[in-house]
Amino acid sequence: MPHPLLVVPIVGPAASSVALKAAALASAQLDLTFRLTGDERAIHDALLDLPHDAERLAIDEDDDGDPLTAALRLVARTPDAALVCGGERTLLDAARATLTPLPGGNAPALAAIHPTLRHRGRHDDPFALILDIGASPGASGDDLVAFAHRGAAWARDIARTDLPTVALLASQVPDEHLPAALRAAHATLASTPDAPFQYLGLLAADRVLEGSADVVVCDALHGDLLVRTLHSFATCADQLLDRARARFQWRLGVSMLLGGIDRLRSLADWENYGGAPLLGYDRVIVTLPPEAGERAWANTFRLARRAHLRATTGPSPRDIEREREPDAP
Amino acid sequence: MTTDTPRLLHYRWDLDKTYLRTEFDTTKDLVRTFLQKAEEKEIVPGAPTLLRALLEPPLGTSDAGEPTRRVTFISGSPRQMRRVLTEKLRIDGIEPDQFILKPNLSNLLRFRFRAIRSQLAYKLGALLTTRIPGEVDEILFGDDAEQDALIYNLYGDLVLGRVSAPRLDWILRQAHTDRSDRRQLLDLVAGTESDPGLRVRRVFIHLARRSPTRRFDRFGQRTVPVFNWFQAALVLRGDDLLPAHALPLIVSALGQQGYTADRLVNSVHDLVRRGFVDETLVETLREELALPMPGTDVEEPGVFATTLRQRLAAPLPRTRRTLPVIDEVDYTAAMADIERYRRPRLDLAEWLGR
Repeated sequence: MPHPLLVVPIVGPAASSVALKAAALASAQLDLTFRLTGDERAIHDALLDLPHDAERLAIDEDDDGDPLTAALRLVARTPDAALVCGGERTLLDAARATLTPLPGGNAPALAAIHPTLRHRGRHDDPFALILDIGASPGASGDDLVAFAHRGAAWARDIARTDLPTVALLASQVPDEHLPAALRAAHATLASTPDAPFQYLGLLAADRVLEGSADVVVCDALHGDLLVRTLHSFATCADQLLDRARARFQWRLGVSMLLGGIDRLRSLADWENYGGAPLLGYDRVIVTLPPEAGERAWANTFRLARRAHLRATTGPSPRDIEREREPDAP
Repeated sequence: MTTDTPRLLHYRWDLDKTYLRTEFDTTKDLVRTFLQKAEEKEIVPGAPTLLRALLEPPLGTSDAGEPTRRVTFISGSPRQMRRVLTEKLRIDGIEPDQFILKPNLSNLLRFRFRAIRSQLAYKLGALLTTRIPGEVDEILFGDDAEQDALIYNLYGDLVLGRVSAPRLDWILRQAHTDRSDRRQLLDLVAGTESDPGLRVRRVFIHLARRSPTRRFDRFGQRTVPVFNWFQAALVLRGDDLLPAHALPLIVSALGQQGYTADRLVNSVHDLVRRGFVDETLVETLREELALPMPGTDVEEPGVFATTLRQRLAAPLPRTRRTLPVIDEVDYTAAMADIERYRRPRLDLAEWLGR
């Protein structure tokens, strides 16, 4: 199996680029192969000061001045390529203009990976998926159904969950008061018993962290709210621990629990499990927020490689879409 | 006065991480390395092929009379490993003219722990005592795990009388060299006349630890940090020190070791950007990749060589670095670099958090 090529646009000054530092480190230590787009001269000059493996790092001259567009074009014409990039505002428009959407709906979905209490899959994976968290505001019922299939395909390929469980995020109100798109998606999913996943129905937000659903589907607005709440919860818990250290007795207690706290921190730290996959295209794309550090980038490179390898060794997202639509060509 | 006598080419090779892929970061690594049999030793891809090609006598001559090429191995491995290491080289078709190993056991028995750790005095002493007087070009091969770039350049300057005894003394003290080793080396240098016929032509540093390449700028253009031995072969071909069929052989050897055409193209582009290779040399490489493989029945170039040749037809990178010209190596700064670039071993699994 050839190494997937990880395409990384180097946006902004190369000398201070976290993406470049992480790619350099990963080329030398993680057996990953990269193609960087951007200002070739500046990237090369920055690499002279970084430990890296030049055998595994190619640099593409960026002719039109936009590293992201150059990266997307490269990914579009290279079947073995996956894109890892910062969450540039222009990504969604540029991806729409450059890449081929998967059949079954043109709305892409941005997915967040989050830890849950229940572990799943052949690798006892604690991570579940929430989508969409911002790619397609105003998604229709059909779009939400497509998100469910894409999320399930990811869970099957990446978490190696044979029959993923899928739920729609909803508040506990009578069905007739639900938004129309949600109601339509619920009706479609509930009436498709032979889907390649188990549909659990509607799920309230307070049960997301339990992890009964491997994939939680929602619209962009609610997904964004939910993910930000989860992240802020982890940050608050961290700050509360810091405050606890201010008092001697509490400090004693915290130090006694340190091993467990570190494990919890590690689980809650999003930098440990990488960025957000953008689903809906026939290429693996994973994005990171602007504040992502080198560790988050390195983990995201690993995630993109795993996603690419598993998507190519198992059924591709396109195959899964075809399986869902037997009449598709 | 001109002479037709060719200059002797003396190749000096380090062994661990240069010729052999050896791990010695942990005690476990050291024990495993010590217990390995000859056939279990792993080579750095391309190293034996490159060395065999370098040792071939030039076309139209023979080594029936005086040899025109010699190879000396100077390794920090203990002398107790001589038998297994000699056997490994024999398996690879290499017969070193001299093979120097470190007296680690005697250092240990005499409680000379600094001498066990230190490479500077040991390697410098070995280079000086095994040099061949006269019209000699030396090509030195080392790695970035130790201080090979510093040691080889210092050696080149010492034989030309460009480093004073007090300066050498200062460098040895900075390197925490064992007192008796320091004294011995200073005596050796004091008794050595400068040798204007000897020239250190190239120093190749295999970037086993993937060190930043700018670190080696201070040693000037003759020092070439390389990510693999294919890169060194390309530079040596440019220096006219390798025969035309050597590059296809090395490419083939690397292909057999799992290298892809992309990795080799990236290696060429890296050298172009760093200013060690130009378009003409890349074109030479392309032409030579179309040659039949010597020493085989195959009349056509291999699939791997053909793929690489096709890939190299694409335009080369536009970035070309102008290599810094260094008249005199700043050894004070070079010594400071040793501390500056000493990196703690990164526990990758812990750092990544999973």
